[in-house]
Amino acid sequence: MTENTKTETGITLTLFVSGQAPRNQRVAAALEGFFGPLLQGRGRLSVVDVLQQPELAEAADVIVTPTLVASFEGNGEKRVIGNLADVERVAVMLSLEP
Amino acid sequence: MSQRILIIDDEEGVRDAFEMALFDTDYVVETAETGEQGLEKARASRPDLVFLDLRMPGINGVQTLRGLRELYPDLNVHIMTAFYQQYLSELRQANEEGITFELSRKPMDGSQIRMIVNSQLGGDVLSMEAQ
Repeated sequence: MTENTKTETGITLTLFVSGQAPRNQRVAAALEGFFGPLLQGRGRLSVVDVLQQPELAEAADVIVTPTLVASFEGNGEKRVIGNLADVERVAVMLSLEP
Repeated sequence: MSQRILIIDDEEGVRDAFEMALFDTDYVVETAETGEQGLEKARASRPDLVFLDLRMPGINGVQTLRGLRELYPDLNVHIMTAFYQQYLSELRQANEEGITFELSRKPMDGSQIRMIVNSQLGGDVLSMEAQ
């Protein structure tokens, strides 16, 4: 993926979580705050509660919560797990540094 | 001090899979084949991470989870289950009562087990390929 492609490519971030725990809400808010400007006009962040919609997690081959899946239009996807509140590290791992 | 992982699952194959996957790591792995045994082991020595089967004879996964939460409110517990609606109804109810947990999808292979454990105990963000 070239840098030019990255700046123009549509991006979808999907956060898969287990339930409505406050920590999940904090992670979602942190990701929204950090990636919001980058996603403007290019994509969005959505949150899937696996307890409510397990079929979406199954379809996305998610095996653990939390998982963040970044889908790059026409350029595959990347996914990360672990301490997703560390948004700067998430950005590095997804090659989505602002 | 080594981090402790407790596996609570009535299936010997699952317990063996975790032990084999984490054999050459610095983690201390303990296993229990029932919820009651798991609570005993957790009470004796606080684990850092628990993998808990949802469907077990005797006290089931949710009942065991409630017991773990009474012992250690902030314990990192992963419920192991297939992601099917009918399996999750009791978990939804527990979550609505404020009981928190993470989910790990069964079955997991050795590399998935190692990656999930490292992501939960290392404090880092790890990249994971679609399976």
